[in-house]
Amino acid sequence: MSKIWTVAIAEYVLAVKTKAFVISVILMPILMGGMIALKPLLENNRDISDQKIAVVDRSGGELVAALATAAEKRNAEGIREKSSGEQIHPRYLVEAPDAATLAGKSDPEIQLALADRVRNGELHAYLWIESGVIEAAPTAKASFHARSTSGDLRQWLGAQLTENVQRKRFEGEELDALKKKLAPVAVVPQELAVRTAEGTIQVGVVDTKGMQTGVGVGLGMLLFMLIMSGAPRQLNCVVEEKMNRVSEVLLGSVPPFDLMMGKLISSVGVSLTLGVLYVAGGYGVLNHFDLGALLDPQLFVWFTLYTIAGVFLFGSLFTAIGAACNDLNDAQSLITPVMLVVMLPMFVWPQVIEEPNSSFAMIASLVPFATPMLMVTRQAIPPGPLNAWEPYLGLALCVAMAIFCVFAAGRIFRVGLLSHGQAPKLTQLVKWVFKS
Amino acid sequence: MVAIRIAGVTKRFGTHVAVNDLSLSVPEGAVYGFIGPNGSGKTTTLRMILNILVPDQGEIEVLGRRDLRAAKDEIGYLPEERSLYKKMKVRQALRYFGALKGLKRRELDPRIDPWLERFDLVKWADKKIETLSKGMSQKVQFIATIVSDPKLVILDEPFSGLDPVNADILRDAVLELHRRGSTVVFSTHDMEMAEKLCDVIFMIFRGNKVLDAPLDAIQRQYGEDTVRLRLGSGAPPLEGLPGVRAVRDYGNYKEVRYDGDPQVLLQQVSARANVQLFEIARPSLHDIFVRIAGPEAAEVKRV
Repeated sequence: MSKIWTVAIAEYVLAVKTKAFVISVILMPILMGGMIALKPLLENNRDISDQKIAVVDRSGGELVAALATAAEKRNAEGIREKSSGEQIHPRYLVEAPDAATLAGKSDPEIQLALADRVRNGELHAYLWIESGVIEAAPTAKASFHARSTSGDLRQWLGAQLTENVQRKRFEGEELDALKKKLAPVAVVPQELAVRTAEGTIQVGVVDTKGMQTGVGVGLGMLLFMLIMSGAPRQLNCVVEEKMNRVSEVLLGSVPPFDLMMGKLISSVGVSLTLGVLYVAGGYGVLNHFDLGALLDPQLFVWFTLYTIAGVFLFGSLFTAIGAACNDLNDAQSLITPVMLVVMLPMFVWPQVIEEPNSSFAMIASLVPFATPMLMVTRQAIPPGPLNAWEPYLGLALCVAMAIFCVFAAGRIFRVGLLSHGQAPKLTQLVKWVFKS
Repeated sequence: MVAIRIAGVTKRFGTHVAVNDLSLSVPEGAVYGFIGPNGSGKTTTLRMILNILVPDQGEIEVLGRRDLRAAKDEIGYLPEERSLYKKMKVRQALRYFGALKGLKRRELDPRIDPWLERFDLVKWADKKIETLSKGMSQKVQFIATIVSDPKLVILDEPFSGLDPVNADILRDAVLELHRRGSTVVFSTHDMEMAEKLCDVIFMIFRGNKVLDAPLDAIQRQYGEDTVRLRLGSGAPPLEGLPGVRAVRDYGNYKEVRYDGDPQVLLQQVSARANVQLFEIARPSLHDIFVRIAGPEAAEVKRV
């Protein structure tokens, strides 16, 4: 047992000293911190310089004046933060093109002149309203021209134009009353009603399923990433040891099974180190936005257990393949079927997220190779698996499969590590498991 | 006391018999030379002693233990191909291999430091192995093999690729281990080194034991039919002379296997050329090896 730990500690130290690991660790706070820091940073650096818009109205509806009035109203009331009075949005300045731009020119020439003014920065954009817009002629439209897509400005112009065109169309009628009658009915997601500990019925709690689904997807993805970064690293390490003949020296001191177990434990250690760092970082970010409650501590315990089972499960398969191959090229052909199994949860993930409590999701999450990623996702999405036993059964099956894989990998590892020459086929590996 | 006892061991790989009904007894404190052509079963035998491979038949006892896993900590093994973690630092690697032999952390450095000093590797202790020259990494690997002060040291081609100075340093270290009482099993293709170092020579050929005796006894067994000759320039070839069975040209001298009275050969040769050296000798280990495993070798004669 002590030799398993000696191998595990040495391999762990080697792994955490690699550049790849250091980059992964450094990337995490950058990613998490970046998300927190970026929001105010983006807000502080928002461009609030005036945006001048030329509007050419061919509809005859006097829409330029209406848009200019709307812009003035917005500039007076809607561009400052209410509490501090600080300007946070740019002013929109709507104007009709001057007479010199329009005089004696065809429409394309006018568009070109306006486009040049946009290009040289004199204008931010121009809006061309075609004739027939008021009458809702089938092809009539307004076109927006700017150097950038300017989403905010375009949306604002679109809303104001629609509002004013609708007023023109309903001139003389009670548009406001009509709009009231046409108002859509909001469907707001809310939590299921529950009876509290005090006996009152709690209703109307805002539904956070969307965010919790995000947490579930994040945890599942992180688990997949931890497994997929750990298991191939293990394969590379074993192949390299075999190529360098280090394995022969190691086998002179440590039984093959102990050597493999040491490697797997080190892999679990590396994955858990990264996992804990990332989950803690994620919790920090959620907490910063007052969403810490989304990450249930119990979920973290399950995440840890699935990580351990998953790394043993997939790590043993990759380690066995590494031991059977002479170089990484050999490994490519043997790794394909294993990769299909590894990717299995990814194929069904969208359906599981969509309907986490469907029979399909339940069965898929009980398949040992998919359990870690799918079950943790299902557990994170409220109300969680319908049957409390599902995670326990999933974990038990996953652990059982991991034990079998470790046993089988141990057989392959023992024979493969000393085999040189032609790389074995998959059928030969199966023979090694049952006949060695 | 016996360091290694092998009794009736057979190891097959598929239909190929790598080691065939091998029995061997290596006395404690001996320097035992394992020789044999490539693919004859040497490494398989060594791996079975190390419990890396398990025999299909027969028994192996190492340092009085039948449970070979329990004996692993008392065996130091230097494989033929030098194998160290390239990314590890020298001291880190030596500590790791020492720890794998069951040494406690506090015991490691006091054992490592004298060897680093002896092999002039102190200033490389904190350098990565990939920065070392071939000779230096070979010395590091040797230290890794013997850092736990093993009772049994198995060295597979320890001197290959070493320059004479480093080869001498390593040979002295091997002899010191021998003086301290360690049993040294020494696999090599260097027949001269085997002649110089080994108390007993064991040869395996096509999986069968063909030699297992002290060098003196082996040479006696192969008779005194060898004559070493150096002739002046322009001498006609010796092949074809009556009684001459084989001639091996070493450049500086020729080794002739001769049936008959050597004095007759001397007369015949001196009549044809200027004889600068004429020595009646026992066959060298090299010669014996070639007689057993060379192209003209007859069937395998088990011993």
